[in-house]
Amino acid sequence: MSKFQDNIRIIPRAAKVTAWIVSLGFGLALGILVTHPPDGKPVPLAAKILMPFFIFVAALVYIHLIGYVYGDAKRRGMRYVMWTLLAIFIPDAIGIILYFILRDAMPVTCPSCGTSVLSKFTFCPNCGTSVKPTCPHCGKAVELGWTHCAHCGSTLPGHLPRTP
Amino acid sequence: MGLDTDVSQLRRGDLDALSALVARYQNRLYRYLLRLVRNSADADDLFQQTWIRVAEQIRRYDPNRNFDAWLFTLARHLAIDFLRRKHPASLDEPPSNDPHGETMAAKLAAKQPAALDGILERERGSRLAECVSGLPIHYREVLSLRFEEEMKLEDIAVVLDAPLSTVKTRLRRGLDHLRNSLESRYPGERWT
Amino acid sequence: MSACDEIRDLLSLAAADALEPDEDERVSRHVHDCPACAAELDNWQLLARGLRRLPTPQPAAGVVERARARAELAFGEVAEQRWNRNVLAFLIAFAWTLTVLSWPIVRILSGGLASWFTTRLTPTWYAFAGLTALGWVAGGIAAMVLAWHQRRERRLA
Repeated sequence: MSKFQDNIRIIPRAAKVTAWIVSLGFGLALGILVTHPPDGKPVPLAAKILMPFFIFVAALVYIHLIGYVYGDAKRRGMRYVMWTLLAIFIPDAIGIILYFILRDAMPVTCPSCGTSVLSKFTFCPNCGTSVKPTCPHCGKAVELGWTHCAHCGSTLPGHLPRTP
Repeated sequence: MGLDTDVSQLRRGDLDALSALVARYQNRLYRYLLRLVRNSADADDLFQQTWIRVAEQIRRYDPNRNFDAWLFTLARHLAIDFLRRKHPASLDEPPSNDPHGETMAAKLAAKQPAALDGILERERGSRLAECVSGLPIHYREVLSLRFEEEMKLEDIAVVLDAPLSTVKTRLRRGLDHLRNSLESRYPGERWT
Repeated sequence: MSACDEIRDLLSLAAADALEPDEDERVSRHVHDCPACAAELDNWQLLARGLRRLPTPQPAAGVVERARARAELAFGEVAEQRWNRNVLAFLIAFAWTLTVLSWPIVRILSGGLASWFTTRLTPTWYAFAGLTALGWVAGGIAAMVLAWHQRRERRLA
């Protein structure tokens, strides 16, 4: 199971089906256009073959990516409808690039009760156990390797890198 | 599984190779770090950090180079950085009767198996360990790499990032210092 | 006895097996004839043997396991970062390809197919340039709005 295949599974089936249908449609439509150009002037052969092919591939990749944004934003607990719309409507795949840069981290599983906790949270909403290392003074999440809490400034006990 | 296989597997992302490497080097790496920082708690930390650094940098490792030398170089950098931050004085030349060293030697002696016929040897060994601990860091590490690690001089030069002549000089001076220290503390007795 | 003085300097390195082959030969030859230096060499070798036999300190039980676990995590992170970087590179290339490709498509749709090798500044060209610029500006604005939103959310968390 390569990483690529793992990610492909995130794309909802509906998106995959739509992708193939729409891409083939575009490809065919452009194929027809290049063989019967509207202004009557002939099209170079290279263009006749390559352009429909390119638009087919581009549409295929584009719609799969939109499907991926939908599925991935959903599993990360983000506002997936908004992100999917952005991915569709901001042209030239810029919306998709934005998504990849700005997306949240993956949710973690609570070590006590096993529920999936979104990455932005520190405590499990189901049982209350902390899912990130916390500052004993203010309770906020701290990172491994810190000697002081970045939120309240108190010295962190022990030597964090040693606790798993 | 040979070392080269493990290393190339690790470069390809095989986590079992990582476990194998950690196991293979556990005592040697720990011993070297302990010789450098002389404190088991700090050595524990640096041990962890070294392996994390290995995971981060393994892709930049040139497989034609000696893995031992690379690993020990990483460990040494971390240890020196640590000492520079926490105990900058220890990087200078301390006197031979360093109290730090005595605590270390006692700990080392305590970790020996309590075999009856080994006791005498253990006592002698702990005196030696004590004196080594008291040496300045540059001599300690060369002696450790040469005699405990049995590293080749060229590899020691790589780890220390120093020319071969410097390695030999430090080796010689380190042995001289060590012998002086032993003879002045335990005059006339057998210390090995 | 300057020969002995010279040799004596080499004896400690001899015990450490750190001599060049010619130096090593000189030492063995001298030591063969000189009992004082031979005794010295013996002393050094005794010291060397003691050093080789020093007890090996062992790390405490949990240390090794924890180190391994942390290293595994770091490994996963590195792999994840590399993957993300590759994906981003692909997406940027894809975005550029789409931008470049949409030009001939627009030309075809607007009917000016035969002249698409010439670079006249027709209204179509302006329309295309305008559309592309609009796309990138919209993207930029959206990026700023989203980043601001995210920062707000993270501050409250």
